[in-house]
Amino acid sequence: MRTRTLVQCGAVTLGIIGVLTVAPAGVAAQTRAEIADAARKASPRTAEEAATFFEAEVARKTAAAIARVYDPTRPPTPVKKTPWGHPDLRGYWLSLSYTPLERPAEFADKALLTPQEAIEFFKKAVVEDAAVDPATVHYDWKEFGMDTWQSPVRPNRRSGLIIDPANGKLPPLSPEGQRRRAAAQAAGKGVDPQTAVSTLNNFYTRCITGNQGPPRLPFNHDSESQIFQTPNYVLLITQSNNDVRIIPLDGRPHVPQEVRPWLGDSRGRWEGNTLVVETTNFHPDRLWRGATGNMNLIERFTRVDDNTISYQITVSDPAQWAQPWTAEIPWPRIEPPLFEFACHEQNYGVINVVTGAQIRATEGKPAARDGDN
Amino acid sequence: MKRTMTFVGVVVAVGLLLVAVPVKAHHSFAAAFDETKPINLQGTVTKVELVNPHSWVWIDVKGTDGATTNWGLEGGPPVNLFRNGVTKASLPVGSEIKIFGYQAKSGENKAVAVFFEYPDGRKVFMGGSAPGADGKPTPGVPGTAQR
Amino acid sequence: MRGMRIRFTGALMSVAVASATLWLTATPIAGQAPAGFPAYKAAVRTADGKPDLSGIWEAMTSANWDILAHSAQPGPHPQIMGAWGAGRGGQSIVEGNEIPYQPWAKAKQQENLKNRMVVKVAADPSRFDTGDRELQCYRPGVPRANYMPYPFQIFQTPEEIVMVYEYKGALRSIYMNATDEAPGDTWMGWSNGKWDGDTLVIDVNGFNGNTWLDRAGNFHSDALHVVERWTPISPYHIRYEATLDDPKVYTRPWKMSFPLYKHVEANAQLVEFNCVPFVEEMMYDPIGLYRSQPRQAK
Repeated sequence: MRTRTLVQCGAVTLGIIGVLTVAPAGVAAQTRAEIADAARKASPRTAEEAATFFEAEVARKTAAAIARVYDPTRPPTPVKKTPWGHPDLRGYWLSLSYTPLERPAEFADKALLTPQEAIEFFKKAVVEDAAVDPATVHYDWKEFGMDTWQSPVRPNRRSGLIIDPANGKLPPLSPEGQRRRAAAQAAGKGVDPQTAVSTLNNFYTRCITGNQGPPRLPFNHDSESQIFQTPNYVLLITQSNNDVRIIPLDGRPHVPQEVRPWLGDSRGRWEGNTLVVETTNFHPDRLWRGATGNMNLIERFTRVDDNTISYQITVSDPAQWAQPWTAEIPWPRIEPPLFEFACHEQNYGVINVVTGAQIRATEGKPAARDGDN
Repeated sequence: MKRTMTFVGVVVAVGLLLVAVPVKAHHSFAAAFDETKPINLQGTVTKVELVNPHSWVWIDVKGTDGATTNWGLEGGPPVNLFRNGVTKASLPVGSEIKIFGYQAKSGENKAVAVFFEYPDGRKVFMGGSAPGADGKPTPGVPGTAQR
Repeated sequence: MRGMRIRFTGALMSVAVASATLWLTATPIAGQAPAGFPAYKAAVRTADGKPDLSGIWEAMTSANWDILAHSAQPGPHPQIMGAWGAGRGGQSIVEGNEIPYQPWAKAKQQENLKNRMVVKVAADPSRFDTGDRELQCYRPGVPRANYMPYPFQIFQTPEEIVMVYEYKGALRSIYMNATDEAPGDTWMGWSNGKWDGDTLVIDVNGFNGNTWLDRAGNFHSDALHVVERWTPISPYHIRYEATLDDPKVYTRPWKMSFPLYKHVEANAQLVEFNCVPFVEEMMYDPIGLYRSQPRQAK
């Protein structure tokens, strides 16, 4: 069967070296390790060669980063003001970090690492990140400047981003949250949601929203954003899907509860040097980490030095979590620009993903793990 | 030199550890592309879409029979490329490039390209020099200058 | 200081006189922008002394159906949509009521019109060959975004102006006093702005050529170059003008103009219009991807 494929693709035979030919029955018998081995053999580059391309850049960026560990206990530097007297948060910022959301088991009782521990954790993460195995079905992110270490991200003394609850973990699900999760799992049993756009529950793959919430948790790509300020408004513009949030500062009430934007409805105010934004009225289908449309989000933005914004979130949804939880993410400053993110216009991805998932379902193969684009 | 060797040693060790589990959440592409169909292609660029969420480079690949097939190659988003001096002018139509990647699950002439390179081994977009090259920035090829 | 006061008073006087004149005699000439708006000097200004265009604005025109003069029309699927789907008639926003197409382009516009509701979705650039982009919830481009029947909001500082359109949250960043070229081609173009007296002049380049100018199939290529002029003519009106230049499609530059009206209701705000979920069935069902179904590899 695959021989026929080769003949049909005769036009490209010269250009193709090392196409793996496997009969369908043979695929089922191959282990993942065998498949990966064959791919590595087909690759013109080994993992070591791919890393060598970038090792000077890795060394340089790591040295720059470990010289500036983020210390949340350090008092903020005096804040710049806009011409109209508000704290100046304007510019381009990156919501990215190697620090995990939940405190890892190895740091169970340690909310704060020493600077040296933070540096060691960071260096390990960089080395893992910079490695690329040709058997991964993905482009080498380094070639697009997308690895986290290729950005101004620095070591963080926090062992995890969650600062409340005190154990650094997400709170348990509330009884309603448990009930909703069990119901969703039962309903989705046996069906790969990726086999149809109508069931694909990844709204980023569908280009309905980006990967930046709200709230904005570190995401390993498209995490750039812009904060734009005028006397009466703050604009939060994300690179991912160019989601724009218009935040009035004049104290007007939220829209009525019948109005349910995907990005919620935001209202902002200044508390000292901190911009406090409260967002409600989320779209009921949004399912951000399982939360409902009634999720309440408080975000606090404080410029702690010229090159860092401390971004803090408090998330409440009694229909999902037993208590509110709070996390803090340091955002490094980056150079402009943002570039138009016409996601839906160019959404070849959703077509390729759903087509592939349907083929896998036909072949009786397990569903590929869903993820972001 | 010694430092370089040490570094490469660490990478290899970690790489071996991570053979079974890729480092990042790359599985988003697992549905669209076929891990059993690694593919090497070389061809001339017919169109470059430096767009979000993914850049697409379209190339004409010539077969033994002289017929030409157009392939679409998926890459990463362009904003970091722009910050590093790469623009729409950096990869002109007619350039010759080669890629290693994985073909679409559907069997169509599409692939996600793991590596984008010129025939002489230099990276097309960002990155340092190929092993054995002199390591200096390549004039006329934006993105190879040290930043 | 004293001189300024006299000028300001003079402006008020001429407003009074001109209003009377307008009431008695003004007869706008067909195909041209409204005449006789009295001289106006914007009172609300930003720190750099320029008119503050901040606010929520909207065009009151049916140009999104057709930028040339047009009758009311039944719209798509009248047997289902009835009067809901019908399009208003309207005057032209194009000066001279003519788009100077090259001969091949005039034929292409007619073909576009015939096929404007064809939806041919593919995972490659051929998806942009057919059909009105607005139907599929694609970005409208410039100048079309400014005459869509949705409000948009201007946020203005001396260094940068941001325009957010309610339709899709489409975004434009206007870099003031900048001359950078577009690093890549986009739907909404790359905008560099500067002030010419009290007129905001925006130079827009770097279009990908995929947008249409209206639902009637009027179009352009990736060579499109737009120069916009935004002039406040009252506290609640902006005169919008755009000169379009595209040597691949038109025989010469041409111009459109229309007023923009300010939203003055106390609770005015953009209400998110995310049309992607509204078009998924239309786009993906014909290629078998909207609902789950079996599929063989090629």
